[in-house]
Amino acid sequence: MVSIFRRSLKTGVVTKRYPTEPESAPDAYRGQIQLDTDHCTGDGACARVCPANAITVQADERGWVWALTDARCVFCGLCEGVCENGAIRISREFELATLSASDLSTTVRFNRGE
Amino acid sequence: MNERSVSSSIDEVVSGRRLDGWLANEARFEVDRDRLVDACTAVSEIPGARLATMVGLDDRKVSGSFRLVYTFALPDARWATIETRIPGVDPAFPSISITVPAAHWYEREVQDMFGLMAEGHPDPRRLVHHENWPDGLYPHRKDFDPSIPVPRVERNPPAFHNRHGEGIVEIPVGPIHAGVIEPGHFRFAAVGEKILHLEPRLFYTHRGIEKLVEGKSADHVLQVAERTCGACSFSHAVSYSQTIESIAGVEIPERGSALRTLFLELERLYNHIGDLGNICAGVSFSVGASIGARIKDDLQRLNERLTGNRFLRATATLGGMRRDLDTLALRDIESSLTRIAVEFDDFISVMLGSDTLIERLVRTGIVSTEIARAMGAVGVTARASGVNIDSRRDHPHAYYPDAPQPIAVPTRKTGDAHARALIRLDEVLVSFAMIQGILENIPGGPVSIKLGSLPPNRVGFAVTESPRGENLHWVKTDGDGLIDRLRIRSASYPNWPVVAASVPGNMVPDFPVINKSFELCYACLDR
Repeated sequence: MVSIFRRSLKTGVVTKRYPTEPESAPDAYRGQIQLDTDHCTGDGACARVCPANAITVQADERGWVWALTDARCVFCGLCEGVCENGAIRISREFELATLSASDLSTTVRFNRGE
Repeated sequence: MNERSVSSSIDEVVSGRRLDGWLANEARFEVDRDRLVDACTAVSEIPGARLATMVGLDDRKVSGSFRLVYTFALPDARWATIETRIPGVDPAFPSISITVPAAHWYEREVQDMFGLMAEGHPDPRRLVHHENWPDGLYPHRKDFDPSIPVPRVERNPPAFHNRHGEGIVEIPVGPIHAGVIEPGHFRFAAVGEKILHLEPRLFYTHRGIEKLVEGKSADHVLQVAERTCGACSFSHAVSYSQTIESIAGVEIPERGSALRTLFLELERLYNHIGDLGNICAGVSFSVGASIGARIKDDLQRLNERLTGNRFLRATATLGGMRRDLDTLALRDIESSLTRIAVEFDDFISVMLGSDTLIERLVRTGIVSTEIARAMGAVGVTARASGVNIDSRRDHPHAYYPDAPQPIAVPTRKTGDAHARALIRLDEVLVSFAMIQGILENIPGGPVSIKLGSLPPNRVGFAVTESPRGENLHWVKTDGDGLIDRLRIRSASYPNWPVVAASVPGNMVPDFPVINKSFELCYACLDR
């Protein structure tokens, strides 16, 4: 019993006061998918490869709409691998919990010629 | 037994048409429906035989019939498969479960999912579907359209097979539990503290994964298959990838194989050490529970640094590994495990030094060797009950054949929670040594090879040893080389019924630690 107390004192506190003490994800971490709007051509490769149907690319007469739903994303990163234009970036953003479902959706409208 | 003698002895006992095996070391037979029981019984009586899986298929579009495939594991890395056709107009077959009890859940599942009635099955109740699923609707039939919403049936659940009588109390536990764990229902019959009977009701996390992946590409299906569960993610990814690679006839590069093995062992480490902590938690030995949780988290953080994911997802790919590990990463593994090995040693001395903990584990939740063998138990569950099996040695795969030392397979005979805890302890030490061996001698070169499109109408199956035991994936491709059928038979599948058998005779407060001593996956079973 005493030896257990002594051990615990020796180990000390191993926890962190998160979020007061911020924590960042390691380099390899796959967080929220982010779109580089300068490089997107609307070819839809990301949408086709996504196993969770989290990304849609919808073409229309004006151009196209790229949409992502974080709620469906399984953070596999295949979209980044398949984009030939380097328009998809896997960020290290993991603080995605929200009380509002609409915060989990990102929609970007592209107009051709702009 | 050499190849010829095993094959010829199977030929002698099975009177059926010999087909080409899908795997090189597989003896495959087709028998008439009315010879099914004799053929499977005969194979099951070969010394060392174990029913490894049973797969149902709906081939009616092609042949007008359903198909059942029973695959047995045999010694010397061999397999024996008995197949039979079931006419679409008469969807029934003779159950083999009386003589081969290990078949019992597979046959009940095929009733629920394909509508193939297992005649003579000793317990033909629903297994997968709960009472809210309508009668006569079989999701794995090809003519079932998953896009049409299924009406929910409001009716009472069927009665449990329980004991009734003066002084017998019926105790329902779950599916919502005190801790944040997976859902499952356990119905006890108890007299005072002593449990007379336990019946589990599972499949609360059934997601229809096997139906979901039909018609999808092999790459897409990998992302689904490795998310069948959390704790065996990497084992699922590798079992599935090996299955596809065997269908494609491709051998992955050495370095990819070595890295797969390294991560399979890292997965084993965080599971086993976490499980030892959970065993302590099961008897409220908080110090042990905390230490185990801390070391487990340390290992999962290592996983996250190496692969970006605590559960090692998106790490394996078809043809090898998605990315390589550089020198810094390999050094991270070495220094982290050196530190963790010291902490683990300390953890074990705390556990084994606690008489009250040990007393709770010894003679608790006993599984006899006979039951472990009869139910086809695998993994830690089997080895703790004297059944000496381990896929890493018995069906060599990945880098295990190239490991510097032969795989040590610890076994014990008492079959109690204590034995299952000590087996994990022994296996942690084996894993440390194996990882060290790979780090010292890791081959260079590429980590993956590209697979082309898959051949049509081909079957493959492959195993890895997940932390819980043999994890078998079985795949058939369709005419376009897409996935036609995926059958995931995780280690938890044969082991769950063994948990139920281990409980009667113990006291009610021992159930949590008994359950934790097996530490099976619900999600792996339910799919």
